[in-house]
Amino acid sequence: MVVSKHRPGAAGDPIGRVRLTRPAERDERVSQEAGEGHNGVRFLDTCHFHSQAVKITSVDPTELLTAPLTPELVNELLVEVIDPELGVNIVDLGLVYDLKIDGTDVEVVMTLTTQGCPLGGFIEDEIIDTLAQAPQIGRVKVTLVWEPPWDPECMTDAAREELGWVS
Amino acid sequence: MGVVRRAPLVALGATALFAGLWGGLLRLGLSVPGASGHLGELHGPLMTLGFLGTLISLERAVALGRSWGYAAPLAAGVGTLAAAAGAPGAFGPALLAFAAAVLLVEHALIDRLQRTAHNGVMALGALAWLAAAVLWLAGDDTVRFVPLLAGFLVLTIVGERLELSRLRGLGGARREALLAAIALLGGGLALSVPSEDAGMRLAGVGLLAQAAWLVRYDIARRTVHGRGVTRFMAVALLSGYFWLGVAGVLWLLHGLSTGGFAYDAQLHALFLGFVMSMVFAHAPVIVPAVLRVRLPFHPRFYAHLALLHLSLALRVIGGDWAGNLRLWQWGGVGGEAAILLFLVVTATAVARSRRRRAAVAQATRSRTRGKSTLFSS
Repeated sequence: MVVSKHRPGAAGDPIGRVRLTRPAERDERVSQEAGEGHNGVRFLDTCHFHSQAVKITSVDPTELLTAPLTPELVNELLVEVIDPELGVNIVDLGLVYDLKIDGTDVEVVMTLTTQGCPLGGFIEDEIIDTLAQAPQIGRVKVTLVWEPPWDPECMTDAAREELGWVS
Repeated sequence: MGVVRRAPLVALGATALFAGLWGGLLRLGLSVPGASGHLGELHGPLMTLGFLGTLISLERAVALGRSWGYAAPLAAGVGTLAAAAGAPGAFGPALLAFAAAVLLVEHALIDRLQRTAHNGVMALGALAWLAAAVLWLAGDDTVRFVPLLAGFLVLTIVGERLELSRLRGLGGARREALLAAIALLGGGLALSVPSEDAGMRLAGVGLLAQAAWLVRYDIARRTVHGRGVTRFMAVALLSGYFWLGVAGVLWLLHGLSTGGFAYDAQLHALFLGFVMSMVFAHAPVIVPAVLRVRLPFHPRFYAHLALLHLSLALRVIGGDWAGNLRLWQWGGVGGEAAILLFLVVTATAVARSRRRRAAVAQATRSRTRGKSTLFSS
């Protein structure tokens, strides 16, 4: 399981930005497809922020009130944001691409399953409401991106099991 | 475009809905005022294009986030209401054709950004709307283009289900089976223009095949085991698929059967049983998305869903099949009551949520930095 951190203050990145990648075996496959060696450090084209990796470094639920503001904490909170039709949270669906933290401000960079999906506003409101409940968090910004496009590969095993993945 | 400017468009669609419901009462033969106007005659276009066309194109405009996209719901609402109000000649249908063209351009734009089969299916739906409007412009009666109106709604909905099928990993032969069913419907719709009877029968095969696929593979089969709003949506979806199958059988068996009880059952199994069920299913998500309000789930949502299906069963079995006029009328009124109940329940849930949030905000202001419900549970 790979947890990769950007240097704080790296060019173009707010302080404390972290990207968590997918499980190692899938990383290896993608790296091979990209023509890179197994040890090459390369962020995935999709699913940058994968909850299976986050589970390893997750915040103890009993410490959510006091834990320092980190992407892991934000990710843990976003598990509360459920797609109503699917009954699965946006993290396990692989919709959250990146989390940026600047002081107490949080930016959630995410996508939707398709460009024609009208739920952006709904999900944004849910995210803001959920994160606003954490005393560590100040302002919240939700940025919708379409590159890379969402892919079913982004879902965690838990989400697949929940939705009855058949192939 | 902000919520403030979306609300009038929702109101426009709602106005078309109320006009359509009134027209429905006229068509049921009830003694209500307005028999001399066009409301009864245009009940179908008011419900499908004036109400659903306005809301679907508004939903698309919200998703795409382009200001010009809002021209589609505006034209759809105004066009249908103008026609119902007796506006002369081509004004109403021309606006409806324009709305469909805008929707098509939106789908073309989405296609350019991200080419997908489900967007293509939805674009076919918009094309069916455009074809219906063109036939209307050419002077045809509603009955001539009603299969195309059905096609617009079914293709829009099934396109979305095709998209969601990706979340179950449904590829290969299973996905191709749904695409084949969609192609049958598309072929039937195209055939319905020169030969409505044969076209409706072929489209009926497509509807039946889609219903069978959805009942077997749709994600609702899994989510129905969930809780709360997730289960409610799945129940509404699955019950809608049942009526889609009924519609498919009726279209296949009866083809073009204008004016009779079979015609009533053919249309209302599809438009009420399937399409309105989809509206009820998605309202807990779409209403907040478009109007940026909270719509928390409440078990009483099942009331309007149950009323919709029970009243439709009464209409189709007691009225259309057994030929009992009184049961047919009661079933029809029950369907309208279900839609009104849906509106009341939805508005009440939004208002209750607002009051609760205002109370929470008040309580939070009176404390120091508040602790949350999230953490206190």
